Amino acid sequence: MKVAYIFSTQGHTVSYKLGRMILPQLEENRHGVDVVGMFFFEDNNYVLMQGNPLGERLKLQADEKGFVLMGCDQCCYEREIADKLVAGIPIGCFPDLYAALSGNPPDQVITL
Amino acid sequence: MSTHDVRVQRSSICGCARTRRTVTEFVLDACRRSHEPLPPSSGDRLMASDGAAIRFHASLQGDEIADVRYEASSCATLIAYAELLGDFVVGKPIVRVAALAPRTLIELLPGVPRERQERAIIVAQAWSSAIATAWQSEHQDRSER
Repeated sequence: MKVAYIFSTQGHTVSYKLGRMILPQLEENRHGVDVVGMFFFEDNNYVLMQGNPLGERLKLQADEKGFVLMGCDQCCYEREIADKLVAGIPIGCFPDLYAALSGNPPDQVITL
Repeated sequence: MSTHDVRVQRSSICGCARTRRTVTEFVLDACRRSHEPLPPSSGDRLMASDGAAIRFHASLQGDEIADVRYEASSCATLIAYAELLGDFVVGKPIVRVAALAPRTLIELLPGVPRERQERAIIVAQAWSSAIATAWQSEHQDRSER
């Protein structure tokens, strides 16, 4: 099964669900599904900033496994980090996300 | 679609100074003015490769840009460049701002990732089209008078 994650809510979404569950499982090749994309809203975009250990590890996994990482453009602009993300992680809006996923669409979209 | 009336902001036109306004501030300004009617004179509607489009409406007063508004797809970067352009050109002589280089817009709006800076190209092209139309309309009116 192919899955795309939307990180929408805040709180422990990134630090716990992504950082302690999804990402380590991806690194150990035992997540159980093929991740095809991750899209980040609101403060969750901070994880994608250059130098953020989670963001850097996530980009390595995205490159290795071939999935899309994208930050919400308006969320990043509002936080003035749009040009400070890990190299190779784009910002975008829904049309950009759909276009990026169109070549390898998910079976399920999981909103966290 | 968003519209924009730069007359609201003429007192804050920065001219050649580097703007300190952010993309988000430009987008919020655009939202506040999105119900303003558009001037009749418009340029071509130009579209980026991903379908995002923009069309400027301009009016002249003598040899100066009197008013600039636009219709644009809901893309934050596109709207921010359009807002910036409006701030930059209103009140200036046509000959100085009829052809704006995309690089000018890019340099005046820091914080836009490189892959998004191409939005400045269609904004500059759409502006050139609108000012050409407005110029022709203005001179046609003058000759008829």
